[in-house]
Amino acid sequence: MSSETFASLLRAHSDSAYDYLEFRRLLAGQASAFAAQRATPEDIALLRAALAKMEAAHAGNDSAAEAAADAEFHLGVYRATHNVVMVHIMARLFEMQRQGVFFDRQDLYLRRGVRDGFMRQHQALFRALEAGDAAAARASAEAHLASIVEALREVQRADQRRETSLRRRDGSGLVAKGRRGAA
Amino acid sequence: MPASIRPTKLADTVVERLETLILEGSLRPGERLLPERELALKFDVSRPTLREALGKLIDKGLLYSGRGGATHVAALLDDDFTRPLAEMLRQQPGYTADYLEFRGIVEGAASYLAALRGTDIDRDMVDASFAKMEAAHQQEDPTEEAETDADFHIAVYEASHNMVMLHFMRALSDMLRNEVFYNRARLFQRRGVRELLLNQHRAVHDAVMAGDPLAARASSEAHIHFTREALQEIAEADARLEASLRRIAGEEVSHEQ
Repeated sequence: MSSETFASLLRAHSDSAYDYLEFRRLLAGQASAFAAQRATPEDIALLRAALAKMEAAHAGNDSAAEAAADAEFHLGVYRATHNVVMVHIMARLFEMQRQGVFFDRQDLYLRRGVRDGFMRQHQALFRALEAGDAAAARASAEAHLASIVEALREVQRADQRRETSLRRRDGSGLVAKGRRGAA
Repeated sequence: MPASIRPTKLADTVVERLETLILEGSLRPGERLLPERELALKFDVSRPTLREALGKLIDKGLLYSGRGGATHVAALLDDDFTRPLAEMLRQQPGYTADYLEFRGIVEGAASYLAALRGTDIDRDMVDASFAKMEAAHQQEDPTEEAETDADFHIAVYEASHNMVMLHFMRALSDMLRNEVFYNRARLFQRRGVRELLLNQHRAVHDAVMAGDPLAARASSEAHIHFTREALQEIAEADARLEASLRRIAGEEVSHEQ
């Protein structure tokens, strides 16, 4: 048995992405509120650095670096709760996410509009944490998770829509020649 | 374009079926599968096909061979997830508070989802777990009640229908049973605590049965909050007792004054 067990099983059953995001959404609000109340100046400095990395990657269109900085930022928020059990569990979840267990992050990050939205949401969460505003931190974290779910759903639908378009353009390949459009 | 439709290999279909059962929690860690002959009959496949499927699942780490050639279900989050956490908690008993803070958030969410989504079957399971807890409550020895308590929470996680949450919380629940976070017996021995705990579980049970998500969340959070306070009381009482004992033994080292 290895730590890969759970990961490979989830990878094979793709709707686990929504369970993963739901689990994160359920925790994110309260965790961010705790982080706003408990973050030390050092925690805030680390979060600021992660956010700066994210902004640089965003400006440079480096989606892989942006995704990495994104995860670093979120883990930083969990560390700022100073709850070791939470950090341990979330670190494992983020590691699984990094390995692409739940969904392919590149799928989301290749879309500029999605990345723009994520960027603003992280900035809002950071401002709330820096200000020590628990209510605002909770609201921004929950909004961010809701927007990931929405983006993922859109990406998956977009893939299906594209396949439909291709079939329409190229034909289904199931119709006998010369009969297309015949009344 | 439309690809040819080819039947999946039979063994792979068996693999997929078993994987789904493990992921959704229908097959539980440690459970022993039926003997090959009977399993092959259940799936209506040949024994070589079944053996191939089991072999693949063993290679993936989802099953393992036990004594006498029996096949068991492996835990999804195993030692390398729980060991570092257990180690940390052994060194720093103060982290129990962190565990309970985390549980408070997850427990509230799980009960909320269980009340929202639990099917009639899930509700039957939650109901049955609570009935067992009530029965165990009548016994003088709280050991069984503590076990049924943990089972009740698992039933709620199952009813939440979130697989990621289920498997993480199951791993934590096993640690709880192994007394990693705190000594459950101490909690149950405390006068009046058993009664209060049972009533708190009843409140969660009633809300889940009634399909009332907000009440379910509130009662779960209250339950974990109470556990946290009770454990803190016990820790403080222990500290006071130790101080008294030291005084009696005349071992107290005098500091300032």
